[in-house]
Amino acid sequence: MAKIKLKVNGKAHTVDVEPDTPLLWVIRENIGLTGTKYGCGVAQCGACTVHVNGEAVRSCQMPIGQLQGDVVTIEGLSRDGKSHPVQKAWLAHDVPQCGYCQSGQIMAAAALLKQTPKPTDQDIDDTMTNICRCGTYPRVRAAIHTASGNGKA
Amino acid sequence: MTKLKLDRRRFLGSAAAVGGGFALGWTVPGTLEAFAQKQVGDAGSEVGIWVVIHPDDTTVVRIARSEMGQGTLTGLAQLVADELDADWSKVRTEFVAPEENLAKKRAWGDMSTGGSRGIRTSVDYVRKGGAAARMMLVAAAAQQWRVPAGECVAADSVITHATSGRKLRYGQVAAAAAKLETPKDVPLKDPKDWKIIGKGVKRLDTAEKLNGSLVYAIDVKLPGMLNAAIAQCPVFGGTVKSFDAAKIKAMPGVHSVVPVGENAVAVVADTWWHAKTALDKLPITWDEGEHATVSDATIAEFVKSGLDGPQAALGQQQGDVDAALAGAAKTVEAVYGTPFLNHATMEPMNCTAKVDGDKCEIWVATQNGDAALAAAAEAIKIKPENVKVHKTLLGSGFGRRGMTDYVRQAVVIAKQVPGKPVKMIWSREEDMQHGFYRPITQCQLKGGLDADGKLVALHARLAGQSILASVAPSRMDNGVDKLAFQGWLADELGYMAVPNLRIDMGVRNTHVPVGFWRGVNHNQNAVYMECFIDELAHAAGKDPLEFRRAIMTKNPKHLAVLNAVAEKAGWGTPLPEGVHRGICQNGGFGSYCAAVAEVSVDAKGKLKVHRIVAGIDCGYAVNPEQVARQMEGSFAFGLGASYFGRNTVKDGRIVEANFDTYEVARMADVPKIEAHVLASGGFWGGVGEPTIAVCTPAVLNAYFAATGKRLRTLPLSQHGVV
Amino acid sequence: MRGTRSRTRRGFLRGLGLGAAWLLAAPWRARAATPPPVTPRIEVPKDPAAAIKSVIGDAKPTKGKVALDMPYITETGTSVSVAVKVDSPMTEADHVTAIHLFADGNPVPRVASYQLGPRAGRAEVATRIRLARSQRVIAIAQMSDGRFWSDTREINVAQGACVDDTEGTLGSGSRSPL
Repeated sequence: MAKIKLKVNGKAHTVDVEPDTPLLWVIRENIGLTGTKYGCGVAQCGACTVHVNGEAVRSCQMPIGQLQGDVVTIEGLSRDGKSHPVQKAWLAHDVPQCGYCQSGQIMAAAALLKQTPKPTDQDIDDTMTNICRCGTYPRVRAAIHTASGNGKA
Repeated sequence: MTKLKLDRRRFLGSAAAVGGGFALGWTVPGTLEAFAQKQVGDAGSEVGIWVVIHPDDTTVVRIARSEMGQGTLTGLAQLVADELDADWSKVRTEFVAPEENLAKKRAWGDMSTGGSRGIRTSVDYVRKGGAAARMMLVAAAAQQWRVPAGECVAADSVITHATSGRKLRYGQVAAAAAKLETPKDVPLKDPKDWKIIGKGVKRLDTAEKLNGSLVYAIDVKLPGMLNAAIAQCPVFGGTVKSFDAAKIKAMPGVHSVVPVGENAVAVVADTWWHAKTALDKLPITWDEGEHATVSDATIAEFVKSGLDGPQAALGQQQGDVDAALAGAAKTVEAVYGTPFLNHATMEPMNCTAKVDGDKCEIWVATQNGDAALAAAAEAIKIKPENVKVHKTLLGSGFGRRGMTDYVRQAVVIAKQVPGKPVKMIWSREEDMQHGFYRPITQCQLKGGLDADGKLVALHARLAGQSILASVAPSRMDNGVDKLAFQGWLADELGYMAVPNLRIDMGVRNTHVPVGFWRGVNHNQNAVYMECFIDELAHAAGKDPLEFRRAIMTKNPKHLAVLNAVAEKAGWGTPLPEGVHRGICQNGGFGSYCAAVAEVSVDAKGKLKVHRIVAGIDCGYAVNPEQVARQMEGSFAFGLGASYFGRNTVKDGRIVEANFDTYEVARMADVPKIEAHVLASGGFWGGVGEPTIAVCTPAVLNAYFAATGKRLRTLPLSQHGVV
Repeated sequence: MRGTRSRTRRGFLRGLGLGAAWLLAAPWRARAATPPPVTPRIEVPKDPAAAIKSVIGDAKPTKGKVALDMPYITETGTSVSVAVKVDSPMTEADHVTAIHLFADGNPVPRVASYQLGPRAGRAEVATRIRLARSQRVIAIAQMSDGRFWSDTREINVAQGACVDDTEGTLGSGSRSPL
């Protein structure tokens, strides 16, 4: 176990954990933010997606000892929990069904839009690889276009 | 020892903190108290058992069923709110606690949520609940005004006295209304007067899903809570011989190591990561039991033997199919097969339980609150009256969360850690390898055509596993699992005009546990039937739509949807070069569905689905927008399964451990979907499942049109086409 | 070939449906030239009133003396604990001669009968019964003086998730709750 410092959503934390503890579980269990989800543990599903220095990272495969940079989780995407353009677009299209994958979808979409402000459908196919078992994919796609200013609300 | 930092504000994720949308009725506690359901009557008045109205007109509708993304929560609220004549913007919801339902002799009815029944089996009594509440509110206002109730009109949570123009809000008369007797005779609105039912209103439960504040069962946090990771014997039916707790007791955070029934062991620790890490190092010796040599090959042979065994359970028959086949101008025969499939819900199985002596409390994602309560009681032999159940929203269910194995396990673990809440989470690997799989089946179909190319004889013989035999044998009909024939019995089959028909099954039950996978047996039955009908159509030299029309003369509702979808898809009109169409229809869960798929196959033989045009006639659609979403979603689920989905068996165990080997549909796999809600009114049909059955056969039939090749086994990945 | 029929305790017991044991036949046994003979089913009355009548005749039991203990709710109905106690001195002069159990929603309403006598000591039986669906269970005690006493309990079978009862046909939809 080691005392590890990290910044999450702008707040400094010191956690006492083994360095190989995945960032996902540090976020969920040591810091107590449960918006980031466990879906597979092997970076296949994307439910654990967070931003590290603005880039989308699957936190289940990021050992805390190797973390370099500030972390933003779904709770920190916007101050009021609803005003990020992606969140607004998601609400306009009523995207979520069960919602369990949506934290990861939103974080992945936010990172995509930061890097590619007007993504094409191919861009979306290539980068939005998060799994959604409820099949909200068509609405996720439409909402990304709306958030980018490309689509119809 | 790691200290858990509990963020008190995030403790329960009340919608009040987030704004907009919907409250599950959980208040943010002033103290670090358990996850508590809102106390009824804090400020609101119960006007009948379905509705609680607050002084500010906030209207809480009570929901007995479960919400797993299918939108039933919002739909049920719409049903009540419309008859109640409530202002929709003031409507919130709260779950009925199963122990409340028990205490009031199931006054809120059936809590089970499956079989696409959540709306259609609730409509009568929940609407009456809303209507009765409205009558009581109006009566209370009328009493206050000393006027006849008949002179008062209710709309949007306001009661108006027609002649004087006086108004009272629901919130102003709720307390008085609550004291009145619930009326016995409760007329309901004519559908043409609905204002909320039938409208694509926004879901009530979206806002909390956009910012991580919704607490799923896996997110539950309680004071003093421990976490448990569990390992079950990899071979179904095997047991734990021994485990060496001493080897891991000193690992970080480990609290204890406990047996869970005969076939599992759990490590309890301060965090789940510590529990899982220690569990992975725990030496366990399994007694794998007698099924340790079962493999795909032995299963396939066993199942195949059901195709021509002399004993077969009969689904239905008419005419004399053997004679008709013998005398047919042309016969066609084919054998199809589909594999085991895991539900792979997004949220892995989990449950939190606390046992104090003969009392038990659980926090759980379940499709059936009553069953979870009963299971918890039965698992540790306490009275059902001593169990409390906190229901969460589900990170998908698909039928998996109607099973209570994980509930029983959590309670058994908690009993060994008395007085402390224990959250048990299954790893994804555990979840993938200990499911209740869609059953493996094969099907032999024989069809006979007359000289005009019309289908006059059809024999479909299924072989494979019965779900009811595994899960609910008391629901079998004289030992016959009628569910195995979903889509093919007289009340669902769209081809009852075929004069000679036999549907039967050689049941072959393997040791692999099976259960209800979204769509249940319609999934493979529709593939078998609709692809074979296509084979017959081509053998007869007929257009697949025309061929179907000729034998659907006794099934007008099936035919109407098929025709409507064919028209919307432009069946028969020219297509771009290389693009081909396939068509399919299926009746199930009270509804009628059809689909047309447009595909192309490239030079390397790879399939690309361009577009699926689909329709459902569910009678009344409480929320057409949500119905369309469920259709879209069902295609991702069903098509993904057909492309990639397969659980294989080796050495008696399931091979696939995670999404890398059990692939599912992702964004890039899903084609353009045009979902048409063709609600013809007059009845209530299910929505969550019926459409899943029609996408795969349409695609397979289109593939044939493109290549002349029949794919008769799934998944498609084994044929190299995806 | 080693049979792959489910012979785990769970699978085996649950697979024992009413009357159709051949559904569990291992493949090598199914290869007969002619189908094996089917065990003839004994005609039992399906109507609960008729079932009760077939056991106790025209007698009308009085509610009392009998305490039927069972849970109000069960998950699957596959194996429900039932206990029956009858208030009786169990003497030569005054004792319970039989306890009968009926389930008014089962395909075969007559569940069990227990013969007792003064040497039984106590008029108590406990057993596990299978219930096909939510229904009422009736316990009837037959006394040495020729009278009948009874108790009735309602039980709810909770499991319903994803079982699309074939009772619900296409287009029918609504059903009322219990």
